[in-house]
Amino acid sequence: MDLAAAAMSIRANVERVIDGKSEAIDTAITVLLAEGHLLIEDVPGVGKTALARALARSIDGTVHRVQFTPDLLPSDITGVSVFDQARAAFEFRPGAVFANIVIGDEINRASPKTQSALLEAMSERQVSVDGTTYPLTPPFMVVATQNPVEMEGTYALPEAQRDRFMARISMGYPDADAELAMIRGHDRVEPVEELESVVPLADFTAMIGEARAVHVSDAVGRYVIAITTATREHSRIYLGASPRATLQLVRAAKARAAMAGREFVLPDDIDALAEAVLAHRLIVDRGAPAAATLVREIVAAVPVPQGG
Amino acid sequence: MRAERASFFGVLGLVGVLLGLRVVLLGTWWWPVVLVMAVVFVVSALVRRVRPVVAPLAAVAALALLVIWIFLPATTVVGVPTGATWAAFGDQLSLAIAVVAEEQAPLAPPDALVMFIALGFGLVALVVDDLLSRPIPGVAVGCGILYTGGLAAASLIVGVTPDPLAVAVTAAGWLGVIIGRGGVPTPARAALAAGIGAIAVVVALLTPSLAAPGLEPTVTSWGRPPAEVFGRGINPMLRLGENLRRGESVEVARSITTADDPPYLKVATLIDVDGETWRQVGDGAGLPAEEPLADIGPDIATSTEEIRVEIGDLDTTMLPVPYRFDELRGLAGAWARHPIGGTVRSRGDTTRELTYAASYVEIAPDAEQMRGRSTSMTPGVFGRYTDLPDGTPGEIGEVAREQTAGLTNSYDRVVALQDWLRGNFSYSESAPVAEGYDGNGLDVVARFLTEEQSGYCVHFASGLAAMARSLNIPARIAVGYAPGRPAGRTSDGEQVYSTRSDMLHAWTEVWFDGVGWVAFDATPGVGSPTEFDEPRSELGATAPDVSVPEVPTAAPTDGPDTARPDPDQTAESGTDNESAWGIGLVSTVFLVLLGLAPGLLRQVRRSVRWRRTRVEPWWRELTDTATDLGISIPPHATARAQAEALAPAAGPEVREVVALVERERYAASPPGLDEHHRGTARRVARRLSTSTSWRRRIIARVFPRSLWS
Repeated sequence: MDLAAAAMSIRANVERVIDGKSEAIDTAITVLLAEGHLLIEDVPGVGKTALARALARSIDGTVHRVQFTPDLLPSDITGVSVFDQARAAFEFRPGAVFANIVIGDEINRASPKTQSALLEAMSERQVSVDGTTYPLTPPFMVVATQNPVEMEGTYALPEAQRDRFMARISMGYPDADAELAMIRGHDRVEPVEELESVVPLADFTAMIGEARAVHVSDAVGRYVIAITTATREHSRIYLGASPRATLQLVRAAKARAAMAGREFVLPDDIDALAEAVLAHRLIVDRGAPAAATLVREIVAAVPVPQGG
Repeated sequence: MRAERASFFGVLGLVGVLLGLRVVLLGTWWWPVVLVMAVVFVVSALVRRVRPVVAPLAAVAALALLVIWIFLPATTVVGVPTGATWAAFGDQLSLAIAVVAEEQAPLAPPDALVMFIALGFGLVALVVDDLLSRPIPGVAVGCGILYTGGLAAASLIVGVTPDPLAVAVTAAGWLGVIIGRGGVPTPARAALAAGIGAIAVVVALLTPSLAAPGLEPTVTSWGRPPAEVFGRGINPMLRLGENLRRGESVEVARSITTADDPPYLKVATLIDVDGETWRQVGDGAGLPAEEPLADIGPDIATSTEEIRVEIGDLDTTMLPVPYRFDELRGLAGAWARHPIGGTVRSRGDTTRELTYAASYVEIAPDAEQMRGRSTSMTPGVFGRYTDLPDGTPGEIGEVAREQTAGLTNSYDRVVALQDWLRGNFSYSESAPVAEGYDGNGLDVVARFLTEEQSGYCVHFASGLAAMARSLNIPARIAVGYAPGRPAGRTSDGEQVYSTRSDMLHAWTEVWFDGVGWVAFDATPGVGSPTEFDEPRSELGATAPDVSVPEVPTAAPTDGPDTARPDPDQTAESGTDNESAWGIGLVSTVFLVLLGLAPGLLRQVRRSVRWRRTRVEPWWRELTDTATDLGISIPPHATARAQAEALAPAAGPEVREVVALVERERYAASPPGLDEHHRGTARRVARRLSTSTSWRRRIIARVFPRSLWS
């Protein structure tokens, strides 16, 4: 099964439990394929967790779910070394982060210290406890959900930590038809539990390698840089996109191109992903339009590279 | 807003170039041109806000109408151009071309020339304005080249340093263009620009001395033009004073003649006078061709003389010849007799070291015959020879009537005026130089006649001509050389006469029916006054009747004369019509070509693109075809998005083409293209065309918008 077909089947599989959100699903698969992490910012109960679980089941991966609360400790995330009296040795008990997909529910409810434990694991793809390093098995994706920051008892993610998420999506409420389909589906049994794997984990790992190999021409590279540079120079944006953002936009675009069966990235890939990849990293001036709006404006304004 | 600002400065730069032309064109001619450019800019800017696509069209229309309203208002009906406008346009074109071809800068431009300058600058302003409103790279640089070239050209023509005001305005415009287009220079670039600017200034300062190598400037500073005797082209009147005051004198011709006295040698004829100067006519448009020999009536005594002329130190395209020569022999190069004035000129050859022989006719009527000749020629034909412009000072006519009071015929009047000038005025080359007195405009003539009473040939010739015209006697000015002086040596026993550069002269020619043009020299101390002998007998019997018409064709003695059709009627009006037709035809062909040019240019581009073996040019062709047809495609979108916009009209195959485009643009290796792919692309282009109405297709072919979008 080639990559495009595999991606298609994962998508179809996930859509069986989440109706009418194909764009969010596409972005989620793209991020998984690009070895990034996903931030889902939305009100509770719109299917954030279901999306993550469905993804994990589709690729036959393990999934852990951590409900972030103010009293959650860093060791709950990373794991802890416990002294085994019988063997008279320390034994490592892996924390919640040891899984292919880790769902961090309402990550902005935990203390900053706990947040940063998760975020370190995200960027290093390994955990160090008591001087020992434990690598995380690929694929590894954190799907963090965050309630809008105005809600009670939340700590906003610092910008440095938001920067570690490849993309942010927002599910939004389902439309009436999709919600009706949900009612029908939930009548019988929890639909996610019924899902079966469509791509073996090993195959998906290979697909990640394939996506990495997608060609990015200089023209497209310059186009990405022009866009990120424009966010830095925009008069109403206080903090623009970091170089990491540039890299991650390219990584995501490669995955998207691979999913479309192309071995090269198009400006269209960049355009399609720019908002999801860039908007959550920007800090806009007070009174300015939303970051997503500004990103759309910038993408529309930066000239598309033409051939010679 | 940024684009408009850049456009404004772009046009401002052009105003600077225009002001730079003031070293070539004298007077206040430039303000209507500035007005025209301003209107073009404002119209274009206003329309662009509403419908950007039609802005250039609107500006062209505004330009055309404004030029017509300013320069050809009499040909419109309530401001609407008519067929007469078109005809007048042709006339003005030929006049403007004649002025450019024949007059030496600096000159006072006639309205016709100003009109075409306004048209030209208006069009350039339109193009600059349009280009600057688009994000095309390199336009600012192009503007710079245009400005520099324009300023340099003006300075090159007359060989002076550019006008500082013009340079300043142009520089301000260019700077505005650069800044307006967001190209605020970095320090390194600014330094580079300053360096280039410095080199440009040095080149500009050196230009005058490079422009005319071999010509010795008479004034050592760069501020004055080099005063060659005749350059390529000539404005004889403006140059005469300068040349007469030249320190050194060179021998311009040697001649041997069978006549008792050597003849005046004529180089040019000045006919039309406006307030500023007298000027030559171009190809004689509007005037009957002249036949100096055939104009002489059969009753006029003539003598045929031979002359042999060796041109010396004179370099001009106008050959000094006696008036009424029969033929020129032994002349090398392509020389032709000018239909007006009996002068000879070439398109490219110059007179240097030329030798020719000619036979010419001298007339010897008696005074009574002259008194009997009418000068009131057919109105319209000779109208231009009696025209004085509006605003001619009344003193000229008053003085003329005062001096000719009691005289009843044209001959006596002209002789009286000639003698009055010769007897009561003084010759001075130096006195009246200041304050524009050097010219021959009618204000100067009036001042010369009433106050100064002192001047040189220019003043005398134009004074006599203007006074004659004020009495409704056809008159014009001849420019050439006064009769040669004995050189003090002989050749084959004949006296050699020498003509020197300081003998450059102007005199007056007056028309008499059945005699032709008769020279009158009013300048004291130069040549000899014209005064024909009184008849020896039958004084009473042939009492002249001025009103008796001259009937030269009635005399059967002169064979060729009778065979000749009436020159004033058929032949001349025929050539007149022919030349008008010619101009009409040429300008129509020119305009048709101009109109077809965009379509042809587009066709060339189209075939070049389809021949390429890359898909990018094909894609450009497809998007341009869509633009031509008025199918809107998002200009800054990705190729894929553009393809989606085209798909409804072009069919699904456009997606195959765009896939190739994407592969060529962004993939690691380009796609392998073959004829099948080209065929697909061309099919898409055809389908695009056939998706629209035939009207749109025709507009797309003739007026392809993609050329300027």
